[in-house]
Amino acid sequence: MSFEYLRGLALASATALIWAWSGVALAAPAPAPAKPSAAASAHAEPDITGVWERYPSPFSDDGDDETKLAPPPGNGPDLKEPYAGEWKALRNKRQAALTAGTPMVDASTRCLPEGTPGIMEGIYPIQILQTPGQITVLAELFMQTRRIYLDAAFPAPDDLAPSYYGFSSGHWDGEVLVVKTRGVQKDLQFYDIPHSDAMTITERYRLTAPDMLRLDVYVEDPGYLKTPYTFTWEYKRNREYRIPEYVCDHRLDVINPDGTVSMGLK
Amino acid sequence: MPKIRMGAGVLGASLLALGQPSAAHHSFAMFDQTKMSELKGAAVAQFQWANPHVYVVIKGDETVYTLECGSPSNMAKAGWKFNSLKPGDKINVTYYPLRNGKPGGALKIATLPNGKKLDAW
Repeated sequence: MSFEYLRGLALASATALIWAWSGVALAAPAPAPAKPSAAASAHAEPDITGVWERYPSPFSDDGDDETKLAPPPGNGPDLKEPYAGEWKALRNKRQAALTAGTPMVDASTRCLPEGTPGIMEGIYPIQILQTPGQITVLAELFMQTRRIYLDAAFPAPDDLAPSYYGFSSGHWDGEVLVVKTRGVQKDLQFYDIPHSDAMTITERYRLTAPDMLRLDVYVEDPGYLKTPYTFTWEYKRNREYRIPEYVCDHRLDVINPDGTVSMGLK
Repeated sequence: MPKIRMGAGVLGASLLALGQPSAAHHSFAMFDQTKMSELKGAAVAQFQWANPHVYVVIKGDETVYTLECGSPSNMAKAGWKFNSLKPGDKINVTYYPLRNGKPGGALKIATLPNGKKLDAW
């Protein structure tokens, strides 16, 4: 836990609770710049601890058409056949369902974890914690937890059981945090994109300003992708926002036998 | 990863007043964002304050309506609190109705017993 993070918490508690999702300015004066402490100087790595929200917001300000399927980030995946055709057909089916006002069930409606890399999309804010040997990502959405082990060797293939988040090993390359992930289970499909057991996700995190974080994602999967799938997400640190709990016990959605979702009525 | 992108045209602009995801875990295509319905003097039966969505159950005439709202953070930013509504409160609401015609929708504005108007999206 860094000094910057503690300072952020102190600032938040010293002021009225402001749910500053969009970076609403606090009335309180800006605190004095942090003085280097023994703890801080012992860690030369950039301080990425804190609550982060996507910036700019992934949600349009001009009233997107809700019945339009959200596209995957970047230019989308460059899939080989038959995966490309199958993926397109599934996306078309989802689009047709949205147009009809009867959305199809997906992992998110079922409150399943987003896994890697979906958790980093930050639909709701995420919190990054730096502790010795580990970086932890906590997401508001579904209260997800992702652990990134620093300078850790990958388990042998036999010991790498497929999982939602896979196994993530990170290291600092100067100012850049490089994270490699393997072992993401095949039924976890980011934007419905199929992948193999050989998929490797490489993430590069770097601060572009004290409170701005950039993530470049590079997905390799030679069996499924003709070329690596790359995209970028950027985040703004929010020193006031406190992430609330998120449990799916009160959701209203009803998953119908035909695979569509409707709102349950009380 | 269904991003919730609300509304179209004039209604859409007001829906996005809070400038943040209304909900991440399902699509809002089930609501008719081109229509607005209204109920006056409806009695609150339940006010549920939690992620993924706040929702309110009200009784108007003899029908029970379920109205979905934004996330608690979303709502708090618009001036709501977990105890803004209590069972028995009489409120006026405008909402985007369900496209399937059932008694429910997405709450747009609630007018509280004290006259205060709160945006729910």
